[in-house]
Amino acid sequence: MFESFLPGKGRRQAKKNIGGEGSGRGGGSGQDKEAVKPGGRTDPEVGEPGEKNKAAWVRSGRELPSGPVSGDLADGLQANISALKNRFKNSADVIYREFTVRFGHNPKAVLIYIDGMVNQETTSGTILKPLMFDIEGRDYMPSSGLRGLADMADVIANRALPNKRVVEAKTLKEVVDGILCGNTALLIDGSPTALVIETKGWESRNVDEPGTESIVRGPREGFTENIGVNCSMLRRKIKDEDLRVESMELGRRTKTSVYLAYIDGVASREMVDEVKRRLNKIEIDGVLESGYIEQLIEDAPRSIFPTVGNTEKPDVVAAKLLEGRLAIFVDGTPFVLTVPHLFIEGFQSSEDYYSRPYYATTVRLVRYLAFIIAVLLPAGYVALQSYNQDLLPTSLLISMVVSREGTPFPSYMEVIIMGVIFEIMREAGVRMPGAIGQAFSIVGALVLGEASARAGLVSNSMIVVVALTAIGGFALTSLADVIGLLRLFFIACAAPLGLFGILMGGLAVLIHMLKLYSFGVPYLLPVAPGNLNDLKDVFIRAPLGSQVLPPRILGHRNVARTMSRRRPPGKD
Amino acid sequence: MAVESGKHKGRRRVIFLFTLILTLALSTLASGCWNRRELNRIGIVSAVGLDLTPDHKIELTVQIIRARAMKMAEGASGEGKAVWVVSSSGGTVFDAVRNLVEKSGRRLYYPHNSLIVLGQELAQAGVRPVMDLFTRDQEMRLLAWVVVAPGTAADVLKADSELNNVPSKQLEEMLKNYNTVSKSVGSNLLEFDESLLSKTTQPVLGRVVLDKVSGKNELRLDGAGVFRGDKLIGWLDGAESRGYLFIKGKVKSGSVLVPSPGNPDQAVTLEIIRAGSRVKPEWLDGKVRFEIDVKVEANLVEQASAQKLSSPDMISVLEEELNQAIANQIRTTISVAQTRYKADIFGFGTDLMRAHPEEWQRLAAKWETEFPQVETQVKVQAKITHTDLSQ
Repeated sequence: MFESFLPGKGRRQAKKNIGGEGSGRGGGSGQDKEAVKPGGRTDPEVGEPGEKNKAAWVRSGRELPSGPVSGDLADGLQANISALKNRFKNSADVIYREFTVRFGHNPKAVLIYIDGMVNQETTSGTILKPLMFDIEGRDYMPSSGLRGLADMADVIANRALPNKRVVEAKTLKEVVDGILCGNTALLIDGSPTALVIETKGWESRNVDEPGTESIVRGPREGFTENIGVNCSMLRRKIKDEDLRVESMELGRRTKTSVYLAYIDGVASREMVDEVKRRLNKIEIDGVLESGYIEQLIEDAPRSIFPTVGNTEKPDVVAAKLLEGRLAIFVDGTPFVLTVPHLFIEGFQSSEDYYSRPYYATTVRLVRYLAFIIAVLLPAGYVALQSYNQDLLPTSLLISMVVSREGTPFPSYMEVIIMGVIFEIMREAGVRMPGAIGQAFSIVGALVLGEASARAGLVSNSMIVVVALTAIGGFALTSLADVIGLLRLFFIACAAPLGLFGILMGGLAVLIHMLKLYSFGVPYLLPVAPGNLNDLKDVFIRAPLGSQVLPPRILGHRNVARTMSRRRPPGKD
Repeated sequence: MAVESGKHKGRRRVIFLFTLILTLALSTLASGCWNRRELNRIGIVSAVGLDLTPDHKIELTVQIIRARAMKMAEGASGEGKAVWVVSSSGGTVFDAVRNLVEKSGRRLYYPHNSLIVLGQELAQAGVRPVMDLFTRDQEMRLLAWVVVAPGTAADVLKADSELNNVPSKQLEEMLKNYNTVSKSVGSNLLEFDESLLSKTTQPVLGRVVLDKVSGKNELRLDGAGVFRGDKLIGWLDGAESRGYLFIKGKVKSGSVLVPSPGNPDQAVTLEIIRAGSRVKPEWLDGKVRFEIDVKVEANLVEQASAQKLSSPDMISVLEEELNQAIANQIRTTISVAQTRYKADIFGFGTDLMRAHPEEWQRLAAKWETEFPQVETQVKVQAKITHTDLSQ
């Protein structure tokens, strides 16, 4: 089925296809689809083997706040239609297609779906067509004949509809939920059960190169807003039956699909349970982006350091799963969360592993340097300008004095002013339409350039400092927000106390980071607590052959990553 | 502590946080009085000169870097000098330093001071009283060079520099490279203090001479001043200074002219590449004798005659001549120190103390009278390694 799936077709059904072809795979894959029980609800059906599909597919637990959709379906078609119309009050996009089934005693029937959420071809070609034209009875009739109206739905589901999935619904609630998911409900006059037919299909973005994580070497595909597509991209990377994808639904009103993916046997059992526990505790009306979930499950919501990672790239997610991490997919966003997230992950890039180790190591060290520059340079500049001038070489001091001569503000004010101007420019640059880009860059170069130094507002060297800081920050996009905050913090430390203040501030930040955990894993692992084996992938990127063990994400089961320890020829 | 209600606790916490924030905010304001000095509010001192006024006060002259002028210089309009030389006087150095602010307005900043010039009169009267501040104050650097001027220090600081817009920088560079010529002595504050504190070794400082060349003042590093205790007692000329440097093992490079073998009125120039020395005190019949072994490596870099000098015979002749020339320089310096100044500038006393501590005990008290009489033996081993590209 994965071969048949083409990116961007948007014909994926949300929940079904994760574990493989459903019944075709047998018992092993059944576990994959086992639903995570969202917290706060007691749904006896969930997890019961017999009701599994139904439970995973047509949710029936959470009460809608606007009133119960209780009650079974009525026998009469008009009663059901009016009940549904009452539910979907003032909803122009809910379509009621009434027709006559050319089958049995030719009962009246109605198709109900939401315009734009269903695939029109599927609806007309695989539902309306067989029921309206082709049926003369003989092909579809069981030899025993119809036993009654209740049998009718069963016969249609089993014999007339070639759709991927058809489920019988007995209550109004099931029907409503099914329609809201993008399925089509078929109600037949006189039948006590309705059929909810899988017809999901809506416009979605194609698989594209991710905007936030550009690379030179490596796969260019990035996740899309469609969770099914995203999940299949991961499946194609890891063709292992131990890859588990557990499904749940979060958000009282948005009913957003959320998948928890991990590799059984690599990820620790305790961590999987912990992540599930935290997901189940979420009580929120809407989940519009994975950021909602990130903020609701992270260990340290008040820290500036992220303890949940995110990425747009399937290869990155695959790598993290192989290291024993867990991934959380959220429908409607290309950003997939990975937990646990350690500080050093901000410095690692997928490209480090795709290119050869020497250059990868150099680049990684450059990233650490960029981090230090982006965080400490403005603060260090303030300290050296206002307190510790004796540490500068005389000629450098002289040129700094020359550039400072005649500027009106103290250096920390200069840093803050320029930093604010830069942040304004960055924010404007991100939000503005592309058409005014050229005008913007001209004005920006004036503000952050020699013109403002000529005007006597700031010193020349300050512009160099701000520019260097900005470049350093761009080198580490995933840590950009942390860098911005730390930079301000250190400027605040340096303004009253100079280098001493920076030292004290640095200690405070370090102590804070040492206190952080991400899902039970120390945030600064493997630097503190230290682990010699894992340090092979921190400051340097050791050759793949020497990274025999996966990083010590807690509880990994010591599975050797690669047994082929490469040696130069002739030395074995 | 009594059990508190949750509400109470919350309020205490708010008060605590408020106090903390207030303290931090106020400490930011207080910093203005403490130690923050913006670069455009300070005057960077690049050199200090010390003289004695006629009424025996201390006159302090400083070179302050003028950022304004340097900014102009970048725009090539060239408004005035890059430094401002200004003097003030006071009873002590610190007094003079403070009095200077009356003229400069800005707070003067000394950590980048790289040069201390001592005027002759002050040096002859004794430098110990004025050097204390430079060692004691945390703003002063012990790595600043110390030189002595035959005239006044103020004149030295007022002299122009053609290469550097800060004149003291040029003098600093001359001092840094003193041992590529090896005709003067470069000594920083740390070394000078060390010899001031020593009971036997007498300090030697480089001498800065002011030449009038077509109306302009040019600075030249030439020879050295010899001190006894903290008082200047005389000078060494260039050659004598080199002898001193050979004994101290501080020669790095420099040229030696020797007569060409065969035609003695033409000179052969030898460039010293490497030099080392060892002073060994020998105890013979109750008398001390210092053996001075100097090893020199040199290149033949220039000759006036057309002779072939690269043959081993010629080389050994040249080596012998070089030996003689260097040994003579060293002997001259020793005799100057022993007879003219009677000052142990070489640190022989220290060498003796290290080699023969018991005997030193007897001599220590009367070393000043003993030093002029000690015997010395100079041995120079020169080696010429290259004749460069020509024969």
